[in-house]
Amino acid sequence: MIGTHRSEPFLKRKVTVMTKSVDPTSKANIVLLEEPDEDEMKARECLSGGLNKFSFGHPTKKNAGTLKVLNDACLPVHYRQWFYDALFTRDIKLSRLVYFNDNLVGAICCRIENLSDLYIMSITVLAPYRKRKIGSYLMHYIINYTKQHTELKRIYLNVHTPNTSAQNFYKNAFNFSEVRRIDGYYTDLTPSDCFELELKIRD
Amino acid sequence: MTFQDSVNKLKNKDRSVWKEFVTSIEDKDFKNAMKHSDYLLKIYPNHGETMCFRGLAFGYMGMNETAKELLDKGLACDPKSSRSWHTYGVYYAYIKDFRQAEVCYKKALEFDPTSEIILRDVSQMQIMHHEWNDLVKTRQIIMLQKPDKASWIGFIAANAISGNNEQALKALNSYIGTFRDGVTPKEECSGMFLYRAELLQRMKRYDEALQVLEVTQSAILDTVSWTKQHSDLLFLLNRKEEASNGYCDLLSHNSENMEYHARFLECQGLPSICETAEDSTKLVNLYSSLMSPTNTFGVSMPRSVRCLIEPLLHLNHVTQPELTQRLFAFAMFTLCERGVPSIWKVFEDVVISSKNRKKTIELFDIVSTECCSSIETNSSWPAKWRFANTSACLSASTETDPVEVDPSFILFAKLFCAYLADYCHQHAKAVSIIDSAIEHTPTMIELHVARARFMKHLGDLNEAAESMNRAHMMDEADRYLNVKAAKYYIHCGKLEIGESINAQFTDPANRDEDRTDLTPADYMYDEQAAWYFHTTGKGVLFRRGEVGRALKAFVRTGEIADDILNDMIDFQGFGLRRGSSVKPFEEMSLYMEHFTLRKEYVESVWWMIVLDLMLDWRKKTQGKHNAFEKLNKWYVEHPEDEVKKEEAATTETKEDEPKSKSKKKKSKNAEAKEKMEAAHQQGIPKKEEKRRMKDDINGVELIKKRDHVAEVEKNIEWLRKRLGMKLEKTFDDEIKSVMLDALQAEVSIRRDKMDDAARHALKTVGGLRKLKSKPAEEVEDFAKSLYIAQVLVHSVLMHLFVLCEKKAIPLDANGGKPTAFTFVWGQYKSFFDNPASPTELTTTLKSKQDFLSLVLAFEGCVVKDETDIDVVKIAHSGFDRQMGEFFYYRLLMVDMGDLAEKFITAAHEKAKIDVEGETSEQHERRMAILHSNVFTGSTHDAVLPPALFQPELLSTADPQLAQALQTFQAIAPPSEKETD
Repeated sequence: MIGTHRSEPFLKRKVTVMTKSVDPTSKANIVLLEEPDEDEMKARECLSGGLNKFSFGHPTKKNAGTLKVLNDACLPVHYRQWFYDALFTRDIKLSRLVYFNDNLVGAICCRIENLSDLYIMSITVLAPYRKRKIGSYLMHYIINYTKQHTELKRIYLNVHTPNTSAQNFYKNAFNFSEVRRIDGYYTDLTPSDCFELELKIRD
Repeated sequence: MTFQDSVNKLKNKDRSVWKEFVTSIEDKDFKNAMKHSDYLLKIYPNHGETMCFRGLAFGYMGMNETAKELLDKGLACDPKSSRSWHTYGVYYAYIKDFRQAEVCYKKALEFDPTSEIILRDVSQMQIMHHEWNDLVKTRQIIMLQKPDKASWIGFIAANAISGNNEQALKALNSYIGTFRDGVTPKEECSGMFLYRAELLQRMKRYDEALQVLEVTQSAILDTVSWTKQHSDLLFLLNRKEEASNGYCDLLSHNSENMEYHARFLECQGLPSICETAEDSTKLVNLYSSLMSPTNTFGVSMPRSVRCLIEPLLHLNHVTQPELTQRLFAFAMFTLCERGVPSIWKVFEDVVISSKNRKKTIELFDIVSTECCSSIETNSSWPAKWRFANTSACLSASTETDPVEVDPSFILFAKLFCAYLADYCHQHAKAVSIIDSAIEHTPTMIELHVARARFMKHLGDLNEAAESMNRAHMMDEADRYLNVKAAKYYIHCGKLEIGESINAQFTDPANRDEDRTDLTPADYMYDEQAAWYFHTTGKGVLFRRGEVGRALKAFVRTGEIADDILNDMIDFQGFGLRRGSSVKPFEEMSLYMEHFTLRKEYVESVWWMIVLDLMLDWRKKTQGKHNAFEKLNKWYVEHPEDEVKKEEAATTETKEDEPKSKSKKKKSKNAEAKEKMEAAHQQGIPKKEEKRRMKDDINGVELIKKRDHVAEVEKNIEWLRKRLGMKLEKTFDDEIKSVMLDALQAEVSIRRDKMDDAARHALKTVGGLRKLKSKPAEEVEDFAKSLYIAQVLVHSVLMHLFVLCEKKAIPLDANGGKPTAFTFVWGQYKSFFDNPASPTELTTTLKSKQDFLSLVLAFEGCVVKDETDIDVVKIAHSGFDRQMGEFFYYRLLMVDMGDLAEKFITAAHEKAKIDVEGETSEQHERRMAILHSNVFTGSTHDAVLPPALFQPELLSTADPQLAQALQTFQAIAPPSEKETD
């Protein structure tokens, strides 16, 4: 029969409750469904356009290809395959995916440096889906993550110097402050300079 | 002589050995079987049954010659032994020669008319061959001997199938009479009662049937079937209101069932196509209320897709275009908003079932294009096409503001538009629409899948595979995408890449333990993956020119069909013993072979026929005209691009490897053979010696042994049977039947039976004429098939003419009277400025060295006939799609090997010429498509760029070819690309 319902994103479809230690390579562990806590619910509330159209997830080895397509479409720099492979060696919750009507439209990928700094490697939202606070949700998500992990002191990121809209976004909505300007940060962009912005969470 | 007698010949103490021997064969424990049979044969050298069983064991191990020898010897010892005959039958059934098997079983039955085993096997064969009256007799004997459930079901089903419902009902009633409360399983009571009502319904005794259902309602477990049957009976008894309630009840279970909807509408007194405004208003209001949360029917289906589509299905789109458009707009808006990726599949139903497809497509196209552009420019759905519900569609929209839509809305709208364009053969347009959608949201997997499809239709199989692979890479957990990506790569000839994607399934690490030693191909065979072999066959044939390997793959597809059939026969007994109703057994008996109507099997057999004819021709001409090998050589010499080069390199090195490997294999084989022989002598062959595909993946041995013409004949029979099996005959089936006649004529020519050939050819000409007498709009959908049939018939006729001329056989076989032949010949003559004879024609052609003009001549001859023009025009609109097959049959059928060769060379020369204003990228792409599709005869669809047919560009290379092309342009309508 003709498919009447669009298949649910895999998140809702497969609920794997993990009791044993998690083996990230195991086939059974494609998806982990977490109960959204209060902070998460709050972060989601900021999304505009009907919350039921959104769904959320983390990258898996199987869907990393979609994330790559998203990043390639949104960013001027193209990450190599190892960028995506490395995601799975870290805590998978350091990356977040946002689906709109079951299509991946936004993602954030972070890593932890010096055991205390959370570095945002990439944050992307597909152009037609901007102005729906997806970026804000992703930032809230990662701020919540940092708050929950007491060893983390600050969040920081690099932003291309001509990209003023992004700088305003971080500075005005999330109180990021400029730390320094790094000359020659990008190898394949002109100008090659960037700002480093940071948000102190705790001392 | 009964089974027991064969044991009685043995001494008491040896009987236990005999028993063990028989069980060891049943368990496929051949080592012990050989041991036991050696012992028995030593004491009783003339014990025929032992020999036969030993032969069967060899048969199971794949050593057919030894098997047959032993079986014959065993039978000779005791020609009246039912056991020996039965064993022979089992052997024949094992090697899938069911006709012979039946003969043997019947012979066995002669000597032992009451044996249950034999009777059961006979009945199975009768089901296979649809001998229903004999089946009733056999089943009756079984029933009288052992009246258990299985026998009853078998007997009742046999009667019902043979059309004797009266008898079946009588038997069923007496069987139901044996039921005991609390003893008979509930499932069985339920199934049998339902079947009793069904039989009564078939006999048109509706009142009684209804009574049966109502009396037994509490005993029926399958409530859905009960409700369905009950409602059907009420409907047949004209108690429409009650029936309507029943269908509403069913719809609440499954709102998407077409049959329920159709019956429900009939109960409401609506015709299948609403012509009057009154009816259509009623129809629309009806569905509007079905979709609203509260209504008088007590069933609400707000999310049902069927409910959106049904009103469109029952409207006359020509007389009510506005209502159609409004309803379509409402449905499209709902589906896009909901985000249904199968949006096209939903509407395809409407297009296909429409009485006037052109009109329907036109209406849909207007609305969807308008809405798409509105969304693109101001991201909102036009107010004109916005309706609150189905009822609102009855009048023009009252909305004033355009409705703002989600960003993902456009994706589904574009998906629909692209599929619509693809359906109308505007593949390039489809690709450009889908490309813009991909640019919008590259992360939507369905868009890439659709793009791959359109690229395939466009003829660019490489790009199609790349697209499908992109989709696969985005969700590697999706098995559908995995299989599709593998299939697309195999289809475009990149077998290695396809296999590596497929390896996720064929990887030994993922298999059951006992199958780890199989090669990937053998593993796919075990999994009965017909698609794999079918696609491999097409891929290696069209993209690599590996005829042997292709033939082998197609043969394998056929073997899979046989295997599945065997499994089904095995399952029959189980179904009888464990079943709780007669119906499943009845349906299985009737439709057992219907799975072979699937595209994979039927297409494989068609290609097998083509390849067999070609190989036969090659053998007869000592390989002088093998176009495919030349093509293959050409490929190696002209790698399309770097990838191709690499591939060629790998295949070369691989070619080297297999050589060493095959040497190894050979030595292995030799070893194995020695072992086998040794085992033979000791009488202990091993189980794993069973022959596997890896021995002969390239089909070399297969071709050597194969009797091509006989195989073709067998396959023609097979296809004829499939045509007969179809419940609904389409126009396409009639065309296919004419094509089979043409092939039959070709077979007769190959067999040198000119009279037969003439007879079949005459039949074909008559058939073709009949086909073409149909009105153009009926033919439209089948233009491609009809076109190929024409080509085939003309080639066969041409072949026949040439041979008749050579052998000085008069053309009109009826002794001088004018026949269809002379008629057709007249057409040829008029086109070729009246050459005196076919031979003269061919010599003139040969002197021109221009195969293409011959091809065009055929075209011209078709065009000459005024009545054909419409058909030809339609066919020409997709001419490029048929080019492949077209040349293919030519090369194959007609005695024109030399010319074919010239043609290929000329074509390759031609392909080198640059088209003005073409970038190097475009050029490469064009070349790739040209090489891979047109001249290799891909069934999928090459688009020749119109620029290629610029005679002035070509004239420098080959003046004759240019002339021919000019002629072509004169008869071909402008290609689609220009009109776009």
